[in-house]
Amino acid sequence: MRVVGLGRIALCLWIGSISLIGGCGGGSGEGLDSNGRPIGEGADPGGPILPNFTSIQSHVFTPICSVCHAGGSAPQGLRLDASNAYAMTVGVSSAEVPSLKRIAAGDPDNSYLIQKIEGHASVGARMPYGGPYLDAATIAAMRQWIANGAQP
Amino acid sequence: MKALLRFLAGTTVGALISLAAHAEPYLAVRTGLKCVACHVNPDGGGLRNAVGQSFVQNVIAANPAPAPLNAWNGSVASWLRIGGDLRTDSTETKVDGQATTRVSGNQQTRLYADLQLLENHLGAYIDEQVAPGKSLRQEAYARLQTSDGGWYAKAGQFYLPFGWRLQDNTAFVRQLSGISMTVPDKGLLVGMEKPEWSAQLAYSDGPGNKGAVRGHQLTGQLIWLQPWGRLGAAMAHVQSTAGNRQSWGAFAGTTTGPVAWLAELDLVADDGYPEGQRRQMASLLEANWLVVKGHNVKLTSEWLNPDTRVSNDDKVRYSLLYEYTPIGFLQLRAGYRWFKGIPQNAFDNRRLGFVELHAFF
Repeated sequence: MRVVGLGRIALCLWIGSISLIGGCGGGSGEGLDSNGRPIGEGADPGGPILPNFTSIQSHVFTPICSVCHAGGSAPQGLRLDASNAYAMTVGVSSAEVPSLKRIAAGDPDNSYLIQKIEGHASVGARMPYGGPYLDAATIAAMRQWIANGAQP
Repeated sequence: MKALLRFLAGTTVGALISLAAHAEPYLAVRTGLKCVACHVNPDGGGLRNAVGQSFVQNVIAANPAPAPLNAWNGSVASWLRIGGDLRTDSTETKVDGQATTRVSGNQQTRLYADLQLLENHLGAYIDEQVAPGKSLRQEAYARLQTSDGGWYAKAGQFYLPFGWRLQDNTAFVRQLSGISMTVPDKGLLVGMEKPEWSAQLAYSDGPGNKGAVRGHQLTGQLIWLQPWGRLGAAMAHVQSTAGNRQSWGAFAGTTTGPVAWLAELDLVADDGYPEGQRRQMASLLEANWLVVKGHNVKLTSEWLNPDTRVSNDDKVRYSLLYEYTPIGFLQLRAGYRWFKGIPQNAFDNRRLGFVELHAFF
């Protein structure tokens, strides 16, 4: 009985320490750009989204997609952090539907990434997973960039 | 109000034509049972066994199911068990400076089947997501086990074992580890189930090693069960041409009166970033209060450090959920989540409210 009591107390202390690690609020953001990276480290153009890769990376891929799509366990092998996103999307076959390119330059309708964010892909859930989904203006900018040739 | 009534009417009809089985690890902690006590899959989640079916109808639900539903135990033949899982929800998201968005619809419909090819020794398991979109295979594996279930092996496509197998796949710990019930992997898993210990070790392709990216993943976890709760440790090593990853996790669960507690702390180190290796941490603290039979209140506190070398970039998420299980085939959930992040990113400070209908058989 004594061992059970001590074990429970030890576990409660451990759990309590985890809650303390969590703290009460988010970071202050001091010295960081809008994506939480040190100012000057990366290209964060700010302002509204534009139909170019740098802007889409900063407004969509980095802050939203790379929460899951980054690192060694990125779903479907798709890494959308700033150093990998272009090379892993433009002209690259989708892992879920290999007959489609993730981004087919000049052809937004047949770009699997557009189908996933618009919610009419033939396989799996709409992205970003669990929402909120991208607004019409953001999707329009991404479509325009692809239609213009999906330049880096 | 009209919109809510329309949603409930629509989802109820949907539930009747597409019947859930889904794991919530707090139930195992609350009862002191292992995952394998209620699930066909020894790692937990998915199709329930006969004990699990009885448990959900007689222990979790507020009321007994009406006849003939109460006779359902998941078995359609001595060699075949089936089950299903439907989740449909309506979510409203508020981001400062932007219009409020509202999305409703089917989150997922899954069907499960377990075939006993050689009773208590050799089986085949399938978890098929049939909606939304085209059918998508989540799990499909052959399972070999000793007659007492003390040792088993799975070969095929399955979910990897790492930390608490939460229903909420968007929890920070699940997003950071990249191991959840949305990301199956192909490989071989060996498991052990002893009275005080559970262990799994898997060798797989790695969910991130797809297309031109090549490599493999080694994932393992060990859980120690005691009368006062349980403690677990997990690790994953990803070998990848796009950059290696090391993950470590520690997790625990206990009860204090009517409250079941879950906690997890994960650390991930990723190569393949311009600055070299990036380390991230995430934690989860979850309290589940059994108000009265069939009624559960869930409170969670989560923390994410996206880069341990960068200061002031932490994110937190708080959730308050109410779960009502009127009968053993139906659950209604409603919740609110607060996100807090750096002030210059409005999206990281969003609020989200949702109602969900979860039907299962």
